[in-house]
Amino acid sequence: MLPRVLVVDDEMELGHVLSDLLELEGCEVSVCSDITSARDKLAGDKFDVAMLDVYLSESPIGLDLARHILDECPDTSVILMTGYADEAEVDAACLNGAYTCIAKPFSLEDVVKVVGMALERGSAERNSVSAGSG
Amino acid sequence: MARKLLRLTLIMQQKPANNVISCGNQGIPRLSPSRGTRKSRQPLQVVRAPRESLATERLEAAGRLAGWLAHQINNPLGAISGNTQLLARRLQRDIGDPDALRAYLRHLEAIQSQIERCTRITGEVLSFTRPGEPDLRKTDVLEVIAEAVELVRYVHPDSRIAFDPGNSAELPEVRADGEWLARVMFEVLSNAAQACPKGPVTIEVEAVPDRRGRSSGVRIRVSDSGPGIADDVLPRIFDPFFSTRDKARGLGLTLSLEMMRKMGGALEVERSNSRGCVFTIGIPVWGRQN
Repeated sequence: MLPRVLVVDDEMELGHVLSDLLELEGCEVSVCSDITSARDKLAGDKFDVAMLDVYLSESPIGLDLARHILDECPDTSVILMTGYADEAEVDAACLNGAYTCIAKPFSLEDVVKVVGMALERGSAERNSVSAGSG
Repeated sequence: MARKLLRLTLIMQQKPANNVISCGNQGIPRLSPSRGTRKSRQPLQVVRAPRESLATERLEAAGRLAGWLAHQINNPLGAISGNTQLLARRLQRDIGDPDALRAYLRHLEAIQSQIERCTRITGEVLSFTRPGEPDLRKTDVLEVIAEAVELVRYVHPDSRIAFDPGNSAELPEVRADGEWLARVMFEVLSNAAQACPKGPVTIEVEAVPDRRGRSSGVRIRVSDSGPGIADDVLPRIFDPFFSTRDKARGLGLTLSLEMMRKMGGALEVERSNSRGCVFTIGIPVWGRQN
């Protein structure tokens, strides 16, 4: 099964770039431009990685969505994206389980690398849980 | 805050002969010139006692604006950059003619390089308006001054900076972020060097005793022999985006003031009726608050 990635960014143009890139890299990608549609997607589908813009509609509600995913979807690795954000808030999100935060504009090579590492980490964690329970 | 303002007001009242714009913190050495220094100076005149938090509030407002601008600009830049890189990948995959491919990629690299230039600008504005938090450590003031002087001489090779460490053996170590203090020193010295390109800029350093005679801090005075500060400029000298020089950002002194405040120190500027002006930096001694 292809790795599944959710991209949430109100800059739809960037969402499409990430979608094209990650599909070229062999992922199945869904793009949302707001927190409501993202929550609906998360309620119906499972994702391996969620890439979230910190500032959606000019407020840092991407961090709220990150907290929601970390609480409700523990198998989904969260990657934050930001053009600018309060460093303390981003640090707190990373300490609480977000995989990392990448600054816009970013290099696509970095995106591929970070998503690949997040997928590997998620896979390793799932294996360790299943080994522990078996 | 009320106590701080009261203290500042009292200091201003005790210095009726001064022309000072300042920002201070509780527990720091007073920055008014020593009595010995005052005797050798011409009488000064008070212009105004500023509200201490005004410059900080304005810098915070500038920081919010810079953050909003960075968000507004970096997001579309991210889309442009992403599309540019994606196009390069597709061309590398689809174009068989190596000469044509090189030509296409050269154009895309030019676009990408301009995107990176814009990103650097937004990053620079952010760093100039949001200094972050200081890493306070035991710091040798003379080392910091020497570092700043060296940098200013490099940037302004014609500047004439005179620095006499004086009784440096008696100087206590201060509680400061050395990098921040060097930036403040650089800013103040650069201003002085530009104010009097041919004249001397003098640095004096001294320990400031408290009532019991123990060192409470270190005071650095930077004097220039330039034309001084105009009446309409003095009250605005720490305002963000205010500068009398073309092409200057007008953030250097604002940020310096904010950095000194965050380190528990102070920064003042005063002007005499004769030529030139004096910037005074006050830093608390190590061991008083830590």
